[in-house]
Amino acid sequence: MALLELKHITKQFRQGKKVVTAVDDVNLAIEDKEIICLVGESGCGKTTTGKMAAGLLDQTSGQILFEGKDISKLSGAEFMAYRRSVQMVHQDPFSSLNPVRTIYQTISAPLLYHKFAKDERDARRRAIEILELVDLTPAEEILDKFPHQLSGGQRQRVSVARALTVNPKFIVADEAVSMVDVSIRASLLNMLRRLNQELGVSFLFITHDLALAKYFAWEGRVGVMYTGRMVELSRSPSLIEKPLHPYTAALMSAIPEADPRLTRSKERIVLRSDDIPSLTKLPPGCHFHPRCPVWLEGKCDKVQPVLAEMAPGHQVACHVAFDITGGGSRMTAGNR
Amino acid sequence: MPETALEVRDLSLEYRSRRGPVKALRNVSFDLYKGETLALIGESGCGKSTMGFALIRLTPGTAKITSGNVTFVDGPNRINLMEMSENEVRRFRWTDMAMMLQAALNAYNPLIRIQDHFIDTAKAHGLTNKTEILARARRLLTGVQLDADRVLPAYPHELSGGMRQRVLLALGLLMQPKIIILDEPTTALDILTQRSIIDLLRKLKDEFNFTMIFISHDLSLAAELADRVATMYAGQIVELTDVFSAFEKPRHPYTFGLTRAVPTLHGAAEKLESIPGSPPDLVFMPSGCKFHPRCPFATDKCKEVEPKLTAYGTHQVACHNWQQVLEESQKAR
Amino acid sequence: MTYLRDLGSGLLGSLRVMSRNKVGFAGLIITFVIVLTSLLSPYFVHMEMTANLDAIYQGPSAQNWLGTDYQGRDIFKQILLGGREVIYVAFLAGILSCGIGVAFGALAAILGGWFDTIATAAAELVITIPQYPLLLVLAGFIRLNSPIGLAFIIASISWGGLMLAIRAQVFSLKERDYVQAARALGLPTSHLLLKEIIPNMMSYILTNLVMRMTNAIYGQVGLIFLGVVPMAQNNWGVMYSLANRQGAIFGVNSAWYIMAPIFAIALLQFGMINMNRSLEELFNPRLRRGE
Repeated sequence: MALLELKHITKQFRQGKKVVTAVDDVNLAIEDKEIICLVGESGCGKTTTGKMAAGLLDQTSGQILFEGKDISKLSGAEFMAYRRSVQMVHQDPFSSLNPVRTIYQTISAPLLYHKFAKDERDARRRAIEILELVDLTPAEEILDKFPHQLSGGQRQRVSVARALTVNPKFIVADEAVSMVDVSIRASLLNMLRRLNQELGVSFLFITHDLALAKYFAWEGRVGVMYTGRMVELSRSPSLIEKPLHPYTAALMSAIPEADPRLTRSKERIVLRSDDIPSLTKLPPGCHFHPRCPVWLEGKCDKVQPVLAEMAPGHQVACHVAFDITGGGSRMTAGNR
Repeated sequence: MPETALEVRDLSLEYRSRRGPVKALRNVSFDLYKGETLALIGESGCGKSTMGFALIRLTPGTAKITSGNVTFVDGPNRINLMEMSENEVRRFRWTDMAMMLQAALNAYNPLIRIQDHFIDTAKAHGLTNKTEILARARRLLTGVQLDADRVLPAYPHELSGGMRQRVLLALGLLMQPKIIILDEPTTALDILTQRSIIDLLRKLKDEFNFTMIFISHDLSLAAELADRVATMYAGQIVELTDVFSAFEKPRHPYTFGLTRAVPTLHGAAEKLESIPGSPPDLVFMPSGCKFHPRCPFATDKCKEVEPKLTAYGTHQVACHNWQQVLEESQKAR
Repeated sequence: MTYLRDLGSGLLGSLRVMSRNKVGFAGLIITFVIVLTSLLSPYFVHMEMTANLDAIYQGPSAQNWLGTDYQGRDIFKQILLGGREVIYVAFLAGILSCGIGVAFGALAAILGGWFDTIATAAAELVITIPQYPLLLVLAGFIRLNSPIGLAFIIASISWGGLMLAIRAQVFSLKERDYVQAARALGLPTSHLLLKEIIPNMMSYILTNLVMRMTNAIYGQVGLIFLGVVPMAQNNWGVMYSLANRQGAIFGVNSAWYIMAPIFAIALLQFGMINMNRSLEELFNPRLRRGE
């Protein structure tokens, strides 16, 4: 039984008279102790999906199951338990902490409210333990500081610490390292991986940086989203080595790499068009077909492809990939 | 010997602040060669954006250039930028040297059309013939792979982020400057849009043959486009060398640390390592080498004596222990 | 307010911070002096309110620093004594109207639904009805011989604008990441409101409090002037009203009688309005950073 399951999740927003489908029929099952990365470009729906997974946004249709039970049907106490089990870490280290409260106040509030600590002294002790879990030292000193006295990286750690106060089973991290200096990102990611391995916390890590996703979720899975749909979902090594969806392949070929010889010799996949479709006027059939170099006229522009398993642990939503079963797509580019 | 386009000597800049002077640039010296692409790499607070602004004298009122000069070299002409009057600088900007600011996608005047942006810019720099301006604009827009007929009469908000970035490049090239400075040209852009901008920059450079400095925290951008890479830390250039040496044979611990901190997609699944600690307070800096508190190669000398940027062949580095760093970086490969 | 702690010693530190804005600090000093004088004067200044018909409308002199009024009484002493009631009512009215505005505004934004609709409609109603006519009507129903009654009336018609402004602020703050995080942690609405949202609005609330108070000063003076409030002695508003009725403006010596209270009121208003700027410095920890 999966820890958290999104079943046929759809989210629509109203923009004046138009209806925008930000997330379209997404299915995702997150297991215990699993790391899943959700990647895609802006507007693909990954953040919205993350918010729904974290319980911060209601879906328009579909079910969210927590440990097998529909969260909309949970009793008061059960819901509170679910609420505590699923936490979120935001992208912006500047706005994720209340500027007029000390770190201690921010961390101790949930500890005291949920009675994880008996009194102020106990809360302080527990807070120090948690700060050490996220490598924030010297913890004693940090507790009495205000957010603006800490660096971006430190603030992100406090955000994670805050999420840990309620012993969550699942954390959604939305671009949690993109606003932090490059040299600090690695240690933040290493810390999150350690939390996953030692505390058994599952992660849904949302990012637009595929290289980061590969590093973080190497033992887990990566899901690629495009204009609200999940187009590829697979175990990481399989996806990185042989992406089956043309969009994924194009993305991977387009990413500049931090290695001059590698990046200058990479083969690029050229798309038919650079126009990103607006969410209010999506192309029929497969949303990607107007840009896809290998599209099949008559099929890709009429029939919406469905996510199906085409290699072990590797799901793709693509007619063309389906046609070339077993061999992967024609789309592999410059993988050394 | 390659021709120089810009000579920077001992440039120092300070910002006024309540706590004391913020030393944002400290005795920076380097030569920019004609036709090359130089990447200024560093993280927050290293001084790279300040450097860009200082070069075109666009620093805010609280900033003061305390020493040094910047000499623009154009054939036999040598112009000292620091000695120019405000008026001269304004004419110099955009015509000889242009700077494209970070997130300038949002710096358009929302009330006027794109074609008016071109006309206004041209007029401000001495070009008044409207027909000629628009003809140039058309050529440039086609050059940046945009449909001129669609873009010229449009308002900024009608264009996407990627399109606005391209129009910005076109605007920058309007007066055919010899040097272009780009500040974080691909931040906040999607991967595919980034790719098209990177390819575009390459193409434009080949076509128009300008000299380019770009400022970024994104190492992959440098790996793509740069001929030479200058790493900046605490207001100084700590390493300056060709792009391959910078990534494969770095001699400064900071550059070395950066290359190990950034993942690649298609490289081996290596272990990433962060650089411990954080950038120094630019008001109260540590003694000696500013990087020593975070440096795995630091020795006692590093705490006392600040290393100067020294050239070893074409490779410049400011580090007492560069030979060890080189050894380590070779081993890691 | 724990964030005052980080300045070192609370009071001295706060003063140091507030002194950063020169005009604001001047305003603070002025306000402080006026309020202190007005509160303490009854213990030090004794005044005979009996008429002294020899000394009507005398100009300033060594005995009477600001001259005498239409009944020969010392103006300066009246000024010293006359602020107390004005300030008391202003303070009370300010607190009341601020309290109502903040409570309704914050609750409307948090609870939404029918409460929001009703509260907003009420606020809009209060704003649109003209102040003075409403005051007059209310004065007819409520006994105005106590400062509390006066304060209450003034407060009841001036909370509208503040309520809508607070509501808008809370709406926006509600969406901040840290509030969402607190919600995700299962913390109750009362915590969100009292610990997360309102502390971030303190400077806004305080500046509005001061504005309500200045507003209330004008309110009282207006009511007194219109004859709706029974005339107590030793009240700036009463002085002004009497002076006006007596035509004191028309004489060189008598003009002191009307100008003194006007000046006193204006000075207090000036002090309070500028004090706001210093308060801004104090309550915004990020403005205070200066690092």
